[in-house]
Amino acid sequence: MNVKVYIVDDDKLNNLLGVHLIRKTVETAEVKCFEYPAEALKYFYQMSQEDMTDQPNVILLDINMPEISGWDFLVEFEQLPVEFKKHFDIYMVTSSIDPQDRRRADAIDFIKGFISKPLKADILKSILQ
Amino acid sequence: MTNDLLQLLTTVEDIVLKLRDVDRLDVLIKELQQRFDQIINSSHFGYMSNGPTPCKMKLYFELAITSIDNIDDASRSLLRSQVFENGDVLLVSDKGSDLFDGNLVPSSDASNTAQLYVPVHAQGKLIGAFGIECEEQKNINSSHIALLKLFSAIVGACYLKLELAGKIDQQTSVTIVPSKVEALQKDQIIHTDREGRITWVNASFEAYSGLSLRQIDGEYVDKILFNQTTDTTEIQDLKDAIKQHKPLQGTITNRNRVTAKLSNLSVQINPVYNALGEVVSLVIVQNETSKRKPKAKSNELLEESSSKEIQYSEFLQTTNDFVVTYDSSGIITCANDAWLRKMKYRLKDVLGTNIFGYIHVESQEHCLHFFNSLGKQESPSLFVAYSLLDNDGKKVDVEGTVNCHYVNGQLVSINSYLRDVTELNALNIKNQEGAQFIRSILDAVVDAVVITNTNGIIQQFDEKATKLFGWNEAEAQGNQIAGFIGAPDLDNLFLKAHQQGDARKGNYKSIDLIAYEKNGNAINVSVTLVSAEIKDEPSFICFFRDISKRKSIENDLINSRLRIERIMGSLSESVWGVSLPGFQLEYISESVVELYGYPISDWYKNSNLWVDAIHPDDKERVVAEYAMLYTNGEVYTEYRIFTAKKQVKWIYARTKLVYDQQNKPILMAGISGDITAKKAADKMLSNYQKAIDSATIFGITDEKGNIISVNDKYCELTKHECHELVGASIRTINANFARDDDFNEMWGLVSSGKIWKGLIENRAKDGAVYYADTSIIPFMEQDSPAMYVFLCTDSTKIVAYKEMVEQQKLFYETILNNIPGNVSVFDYDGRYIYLNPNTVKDAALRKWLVGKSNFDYCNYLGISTDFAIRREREFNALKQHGKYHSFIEISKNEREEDVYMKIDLILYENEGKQLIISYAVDITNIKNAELENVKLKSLHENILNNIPIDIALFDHNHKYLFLNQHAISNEEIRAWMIGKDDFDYAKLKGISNEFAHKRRQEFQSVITSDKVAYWLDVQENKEGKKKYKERRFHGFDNNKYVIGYGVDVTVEKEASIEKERVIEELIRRNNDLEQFSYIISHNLRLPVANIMGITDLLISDNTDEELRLEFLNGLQHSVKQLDGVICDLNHILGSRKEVNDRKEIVVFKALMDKVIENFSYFMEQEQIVIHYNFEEYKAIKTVPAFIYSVFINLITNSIKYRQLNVPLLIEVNSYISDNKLVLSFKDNGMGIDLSKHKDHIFGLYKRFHSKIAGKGMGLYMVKSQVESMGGSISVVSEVNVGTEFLIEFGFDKIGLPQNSKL
Repeated sequence: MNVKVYIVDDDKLNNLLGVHLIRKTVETAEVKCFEYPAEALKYFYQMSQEDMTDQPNVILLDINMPEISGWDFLVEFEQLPVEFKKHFDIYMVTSSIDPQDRRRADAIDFIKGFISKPLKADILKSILQ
Repeated sequence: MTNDLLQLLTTVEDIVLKLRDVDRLDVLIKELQQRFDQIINSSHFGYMSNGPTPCKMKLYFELAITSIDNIDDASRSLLRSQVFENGDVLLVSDKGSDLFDGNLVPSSDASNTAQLYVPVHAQGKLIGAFGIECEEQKNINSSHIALLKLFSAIVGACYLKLELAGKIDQQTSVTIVPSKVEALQKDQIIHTDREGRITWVNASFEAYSGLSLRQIDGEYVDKILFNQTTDTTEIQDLKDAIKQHKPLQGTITNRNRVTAKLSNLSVQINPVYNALGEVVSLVIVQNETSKRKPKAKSNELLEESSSKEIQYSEFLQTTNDFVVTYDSSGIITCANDAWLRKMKYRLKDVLGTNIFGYIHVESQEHCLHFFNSLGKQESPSLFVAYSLLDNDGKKVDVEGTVNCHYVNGQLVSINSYLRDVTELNALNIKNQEGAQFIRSILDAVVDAVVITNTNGIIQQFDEKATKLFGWNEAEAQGNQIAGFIGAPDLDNLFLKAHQQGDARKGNYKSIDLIAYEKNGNAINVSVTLVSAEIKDEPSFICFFRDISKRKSIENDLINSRLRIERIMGSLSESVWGVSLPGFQLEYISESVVELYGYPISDWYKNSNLWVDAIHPDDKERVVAEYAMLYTNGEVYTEYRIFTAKKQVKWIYARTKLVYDQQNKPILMAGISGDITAKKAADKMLSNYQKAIDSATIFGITDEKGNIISVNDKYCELTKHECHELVGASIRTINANFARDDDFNEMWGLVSSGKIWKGLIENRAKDGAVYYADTSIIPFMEQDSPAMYVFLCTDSTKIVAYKEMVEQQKLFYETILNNIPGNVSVFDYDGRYIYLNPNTVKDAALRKWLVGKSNFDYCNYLGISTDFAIRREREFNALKQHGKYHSFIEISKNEREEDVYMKIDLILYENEGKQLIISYAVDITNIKNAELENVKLKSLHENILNNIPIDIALFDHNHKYLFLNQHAISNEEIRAWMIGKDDFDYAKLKGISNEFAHKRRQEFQSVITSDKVAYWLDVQENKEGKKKYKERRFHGFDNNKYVIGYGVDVTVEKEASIEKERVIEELIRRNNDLEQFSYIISHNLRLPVANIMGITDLLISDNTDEELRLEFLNGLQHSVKQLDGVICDLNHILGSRKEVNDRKEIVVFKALMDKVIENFSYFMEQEQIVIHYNFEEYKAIKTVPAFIYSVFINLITNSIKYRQLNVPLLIEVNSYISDNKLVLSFKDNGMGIDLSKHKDHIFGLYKRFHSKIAGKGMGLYMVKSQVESMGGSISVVSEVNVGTEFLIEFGFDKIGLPQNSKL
């Protein structure tokens, strides 16, 4: 089954790079980017209401975003039904080297991993397969 | 000993044996209690009730007071002192505790339970105490106490037995409380069976009585107890009580057979009942009560004896008579020198010893008998004669009087006044030895000796009697002497001897009479009758002497005398003769006519005339006197008569019988004379005498000084009987005249005819000293004194008083002379009357100064009169003040040191004269000490007041005793605070008393915990500045006082607060920096990561040209982005630099105008309005670039985030709030959701509006710059309403004073 990857990041260049790299690494993967986390949340909410997919999903979530940070996003995402959530693996992707961010991510169960930018082919491979 | 008691003894002995096991004391007491319960429930002891109301008892046996825990402290202390030290019985009830005196009168409202404690003694030591708890106090009676005492005595006895047997030693035995005075248990306990036979006694009784139980076991108790005392009603009552088993308490006086002391004993009879109310035994408690005499009594006694002592002490020590006094127990309390000398003892040896120790064995029985009789009736004085035993074992015979001294009917002291009669007795014995010699003398003058019994029956008839009377002894014996020798007159003599009851030795009567020889011849004999004891029989000794020859001569004489008397007719006295037995007037001289006024013929006619003429008042007496004529042979009488002219005359009549050869009266011859004149004189004299008698003390002596007569008062004075004095030499009477020289001088004077006046000091018969103010008047006859009259006044009291006054004077003078100060007395004009040696040492000078003034004194000393002037001034001050004036005089001594004299002047009136008494005391030392003290005190206070610490001293109630200046600077308030507390202070100041509560709390903790309390006190002054004080309270003197310190630690505290603030700031800055480094690294890494990603793609992929171009654009963007970040970094670091740039004054208005200029185009386009007002605070001194950056950033933000449909209004103001300069930037823009972003609003690269371009640098920069300038920034914002930024600067940070109005 094809994996679906969602990138939530306010940096357009990062998203462009991400799409190319994912397509290049896992050809079957579908990629969708959100420049505004609010939009992403809105999308996932609708998705949880309508299409209960059993497709595996991966979210690559940036931390430092204006208005809604990665952490804020997670708080909202938590509100979604468990049946829906369980199909999602969430990875934090950031250029931050603040150890506090890392510790915070480790403390949250459903965060699968913490990835430092830039995205690398081998890391993508291991999480998408 | 009864079996029951033996059993009890064994029981108790068993228990006492266990006393050694101190560890098991509790068990032991329990056991003892059980046994006791058994005992009191047994038939033998039963309930110790005294009738139908039994009292249940519970027993305690306590070995140490500490273990008695069911009584209060006061009772415990009583228990300790009275029961354990004095051995008294203590009663403890809920009404308190009291000593049980055996006379408990329980009140009906007394609560039910009470405890009685009785000490347990063993060999004079207290080993513990018994206590019983009685359920019904009102039923407690003396029987309970008795039982308890018995029980404790038995325990004590057992203990003693065990101790003697070595079973108990000091180490293992129980705590022993040493008894104080009494070595023995006070109470003597005797247990008897119901018949009163002794079964057991305690050691105390044994010691007292000297009788061991072995000796008296089984004896009837009354015989043992009362053997030494003679029956009184009280003893009879006690004896009856024993017989009738009645409870009774009584007091008896008993002589202790061991110490021979007379003592009062309280005896208490307590019957013991069994449960059936039958008496099974008796417990008798006896103790000495003399020691418990009420205080008042002993005081009286003391007073009595001390007054006596004073009165007699002198006499006691100077008299040659023995004086010894002793108390009712025979203990010697005083003995005078004479007694001690004679007995060869020293006073200290005999005081406190018993008089019986000094009595010779021969007299002891007699004395004991006498002694016993003393206590019974009040006999003021008794004659005694006995023998003493001196220190060398020699016998001393004494006789004299014993005076008993009673107080309240009780014999308290016995005073003996004795005279040494040893020599006299020896003389008597010699006399007896010399009897034979006397007898021989008698033989020479006496013809015959006949001894008869008192009835005159002849017992002995000596040879001479045989010679005189012709009878031999055998013929004479058994006959009545008068009849036997035919001399009935002798019977009269015997009769007379009998009538007078005169059996005293040595007295005799003599008579001349006619007796008959065996052959019938009459002989004239003289008989002397002497009463005597011959062979223990009262007898008469009759000495006969032949006087026949003498008698015949006498008869011749009578006849010739008669003849002479007949010639007496010519005399003024009337002489008369009446023949007998016919009473015929034979002769009467002519003089009778003159005497009576009746003619001679009347006398011959009327033989009764002389009787008729007697004054009726005298008649009876005269007739009676004449009746004696026959027995006495002669009558002399004086009486009144009525003359023929009914005139009263005093006459005397001397009448004699004239006998014939046969000794029959044949003639009555008499002579009478007129003594009216003499009588009248006599009467006057007697009146005088009466007057003198009653008024004075007087006597008459003959020229040799032998007393002719004395009046009663003289007898009273000298305490002699009058008959003892008459005939005695005045010298003898005055034998005790203190000064012989004076006596001789007196006689010298009066014998030369001069009157002597003086004070005679003498001793009365009883030894008392008397003083007589005496005049001795010689009555001269032919230039030499014929007699002396002495008149005295008793001045004993006056002399005593004078002596007392003299002594007092001496006493006061001694005091004055020794008083530690200068005493001088002046008259009102300031002239010396008296000076004590302290004032002026030189006695001669002292004497000289009397009558002189201080001016004279100054002149004498050759010094300036300043001193005298000063004194005069003070004297005047005194006179003005009235009674008292005091001043202090400062002068210099030789060492030029200040000498302070305190001088008290007293105005004193003595016998109408005003005197000034000056009393000066050197108070230099006191003054110096005072000064020193004042200095020290002020030094201390200075120190305390100048220590920069609050110091306060509190009393136990947290009231101020002292505060130093630092604590409260206002002196008035400081003074006011003394005795007040912090609450008062809060009230005074009108401030919250929260601090007072806090201090009270700390104070309590100090007092209760004994710890030092520390705390930090924060006070805010009016300006709101905080003041920190470290406070400390600590108690001292057992927390009676508490000292409080307050140390101002504001500076330290502020420093530490500042330090904390700095540290906080540093930490914050550090965090900021850290954050900054993360953010920077993030923002640097972001483009770097993109660059890396793009370059990777560009290198590895053969991407199409379009994509490649897109990547290259991305690459360019990232590189620009990286450059931007680096620029920002430079910018930020620039603002973070230490503000070394030159500070300048920046005027807000100018600054604002410059900022607005940047936006002028924009403002017109977008309808932006900016209002500003810097009137309140116009400028600051700071780095211009920073303040410009802050202004432009905030204005830019407002414009950037304005609401699109609302015209933007920006208001900028400066004002002062809370002592700070505030710059306010307020807009009506979009606002920021602070609930979400509060933490990040001033964060670097934090953006809150994603749709609007921005780097998230502006506010970060504003904050950095504000802080660099020393200010702070805060924000208030509401979404879609607006935002207000507030920048605050402390005035110290902006380099301008607050009131700067630029």
